[in-house]
Amino acid sequence: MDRLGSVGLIAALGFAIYGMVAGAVAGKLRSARILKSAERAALGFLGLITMAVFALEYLILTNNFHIAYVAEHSNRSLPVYYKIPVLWSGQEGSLLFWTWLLSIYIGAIVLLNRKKHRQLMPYVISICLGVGTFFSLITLLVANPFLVLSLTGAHGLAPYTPVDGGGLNPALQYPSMVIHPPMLYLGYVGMVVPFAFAMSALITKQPGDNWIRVTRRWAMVPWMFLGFGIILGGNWAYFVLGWGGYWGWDPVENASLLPWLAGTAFLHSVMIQEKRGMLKVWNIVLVIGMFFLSIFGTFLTRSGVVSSVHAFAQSNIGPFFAVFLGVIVLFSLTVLFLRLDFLKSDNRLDSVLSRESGFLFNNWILLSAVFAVLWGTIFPILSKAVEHVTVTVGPPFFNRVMVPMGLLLLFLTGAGPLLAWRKTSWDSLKRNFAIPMGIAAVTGIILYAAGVRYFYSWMALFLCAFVASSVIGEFYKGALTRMKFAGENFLQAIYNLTMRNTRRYGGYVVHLGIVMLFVGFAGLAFKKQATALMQPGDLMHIKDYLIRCETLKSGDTPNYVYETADLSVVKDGHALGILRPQKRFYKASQQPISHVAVHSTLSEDLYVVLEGRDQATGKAIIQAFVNPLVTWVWLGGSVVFLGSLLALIPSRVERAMDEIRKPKQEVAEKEHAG
Amino acid sequence: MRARIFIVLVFVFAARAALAQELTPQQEAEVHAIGNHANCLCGCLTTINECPHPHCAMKAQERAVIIADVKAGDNEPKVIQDLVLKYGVKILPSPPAKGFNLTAWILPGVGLLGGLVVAVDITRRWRKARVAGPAEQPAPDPNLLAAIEEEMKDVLS
Amino acid sequence: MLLGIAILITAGLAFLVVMPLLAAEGGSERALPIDVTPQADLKRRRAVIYENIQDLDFEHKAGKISGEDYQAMRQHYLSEAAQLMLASEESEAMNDRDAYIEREVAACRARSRPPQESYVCPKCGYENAVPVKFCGECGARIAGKK
Repeated sequence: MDRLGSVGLIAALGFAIYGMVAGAVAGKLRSARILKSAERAALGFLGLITMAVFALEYLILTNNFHIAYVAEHSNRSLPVYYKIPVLWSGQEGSLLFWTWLLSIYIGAIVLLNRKKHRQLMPYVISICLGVGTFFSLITLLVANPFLVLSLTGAHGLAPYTPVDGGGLNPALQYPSMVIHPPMLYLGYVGMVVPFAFAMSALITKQPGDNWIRVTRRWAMVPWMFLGFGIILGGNWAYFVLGWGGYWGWDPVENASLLPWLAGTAFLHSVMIQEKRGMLKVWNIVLVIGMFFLSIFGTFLTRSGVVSSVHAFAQSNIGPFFAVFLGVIVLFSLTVLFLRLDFLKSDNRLDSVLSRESGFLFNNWILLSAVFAVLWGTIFPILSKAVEHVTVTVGPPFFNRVMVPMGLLLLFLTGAGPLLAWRKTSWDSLKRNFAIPMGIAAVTGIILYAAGVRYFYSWMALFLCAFVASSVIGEFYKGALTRMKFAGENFLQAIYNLTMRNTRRYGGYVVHLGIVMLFVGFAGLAFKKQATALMQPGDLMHIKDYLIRCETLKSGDTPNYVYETADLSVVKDGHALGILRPQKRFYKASQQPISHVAVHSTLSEDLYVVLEGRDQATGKAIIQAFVNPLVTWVWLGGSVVFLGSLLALIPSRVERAMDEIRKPKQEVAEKEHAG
Repeated sequence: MRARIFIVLVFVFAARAALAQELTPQQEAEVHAIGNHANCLCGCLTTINECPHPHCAMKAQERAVIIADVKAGDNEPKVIQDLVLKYGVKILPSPPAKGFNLTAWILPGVGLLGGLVVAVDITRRWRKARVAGPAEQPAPDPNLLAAIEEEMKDVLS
Repeated sequence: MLLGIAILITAGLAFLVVMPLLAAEGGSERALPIDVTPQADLKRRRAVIYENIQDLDFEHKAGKISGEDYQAMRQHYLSEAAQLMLASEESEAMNDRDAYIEREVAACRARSRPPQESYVCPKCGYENAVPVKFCGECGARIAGKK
């Protein structure tokens, strides 16, 4: 089986190199048959990488511990549903997984565009397979998951098969960890696609705006997955790491945030290009930035340049990535400079007070955020190089820098939709702002009266009210207008309004999700924490909760031994039931991990961790947190995801636009007749 | 391996023992507060209070230092200073705003302001180009407008 | 055994990849078709403006834009559309002139060849190699299938 995988990898590398060259040649010669050959090479690449992935999964599922990767990351008693994620839990496997997702994207592009974008496709395939070449090369030469374990014996190296494997990192044995990496990787990997389309359009000097629409569409897909992956990561951290939070400004978290922020900037500013033919160069820069940052993020986390909880074992793939990043920058900037004349603006700004400038300022904040996060993430490296001192750039730094930017951005989220395209007069501005600002002001006063005195939290909630009422107002006003002019009932009106412009109203739904996220963030300032040593019968107070330790149990499963504390919880005289935090000790990996127990409501979570036993007294160490509004983060993340899906549905006008690719003679004929 | 676990356990015991020894509630609160402002250096990249490892030797060691200092009557800045002397600047959750490390704090702000200048400049240039650009087109002829209206209905239907 | 299967699969895929290269050049598959013709591009650009106008109308109805701004902006969009429409008509006229010449040439050729062999476009005179409903060159309908 390992041979099957290795052959698959080697052949896939061959197909990738061939397809990369053939695509470029097909583009240069405008040859349909060479393009066809390149398309088949792309599909072959998909097939062969799939073969390698299945080979590795087979080896994992059948406990083939003679393979180093399997021995290191799996073990016999690991349940099947946690054996599948073993594929992406280590350096080598996850690079193969990365390559596989890339091949799936490439296959999807080829199959979806058999008849479309014929001029663009040769270079799209070439660029995608160029990236494929790099990743299959790395997987094959530097981080091969199919290497066989061997020991140095009397007769030189001899193959060695351990009885059992080292086991999967217990922190990864959690449901959301099974889907978090695939989502995140789908985001990272997919950034290649918009990059390839944009570059191809520049190389072939595509006339018209068709290419920017397809680039935007393909940017949206990875952006959506990346965002969802980030939220799932936070969810995992919250429920598994047991420190009561979901975001720690860790380098790996930052690395995933960077392309997401750049993608958010692109998805906004691209609208100016589609509607008004402006900011073309800037959009290309953003597409390049998105792709660069996604590879850069992979590099940061894989090379061990920065230390992180997530970082994979130090490895020698760093230099390869550095060279690859250099190639990307060189290639894309060369293409950009050679085609600057092709990217001339069609239109001019009519007024500073317009939707266009709203988007411009949105881009300003987002890009400043990208810069600040990037700066904070790589600063320890710089500091070490300049001053030879290791510093930590942790949450206090990022919170100080990022919170004001986040609030500014939140304000723009609400203000943007209130500005009209091209020009907004002061009068209409005042009228449009009056209601949302009024609602926000009332909310602000109520919050202050209710005791929300911490400035940033108060400001966040105030702005949340502003944005939510401005977005809901958009839906409401739109629906009223449709009811009045098209005679529809309210639900019909909302439905038609949304479906007629899925991108805008899907975007508004995303904004509502962002508001919910910020509501969750605002709760962070009111976190409470308490620790107690408990034995059955002991009581503990935190905020208005009363926790009583009922029993302490321990047990054994094939995979781990555990201790559980049964804690009954009472709040305001109401019993809330039993919370069972668990402490597990995994046998194969010899590592302990806490399984947190949480009682969630919309207003706050009671979060308890069994830290272990106090050696001196034998009592259980219980750590309890009251985390206000955390649920809103998960809800918000889901709403963002659903809104993005909505925005991906082609609207009626977009479908009409798609039809206008070949000239329809009817129109011309009508004019001749008339 | 076993020996190492044993050493770790000894440390934990030592730390717990030290913790147990007559800290006033006020002192305990102080220790806790300092624990929020100093990193655990075990590789968890969190503060001493947030380190997820229950029997973390590093955390215990650092906490022992803090407890000793607090007992000796040091206030928070002094304890932090002591920790920095013992473990290096990396014990601080964010770089100190001094010397080269000051750039860490300044540059994001500079970036933000620089971006604002660029954004304002762009809007300004857009406006200027508009003013200097060609004047309004004369009204298109009615036939053309009719054709446009018709095509518009066709496209948007 | 497995190794053999793997090599067989690879060889099979390689064959599929090489096959298109061995096929004879020719037919309508010869060159990469243009995705959006210049004519269609002009129409698409008008469609974008129409969408903008539709949005503008809607925002006006919803009361987000004052009447004065609305009229000025609508006028502006319309004149943009008018320019694109003019450009469309001009390029159409050019096409007509070219098409006339090509049609004459094609008619000449057609007389010297059996008619079933080719599918000559009535508008531009391009000889499509395979039976098609629309001309591969200019997109016009091929007669008789209206």
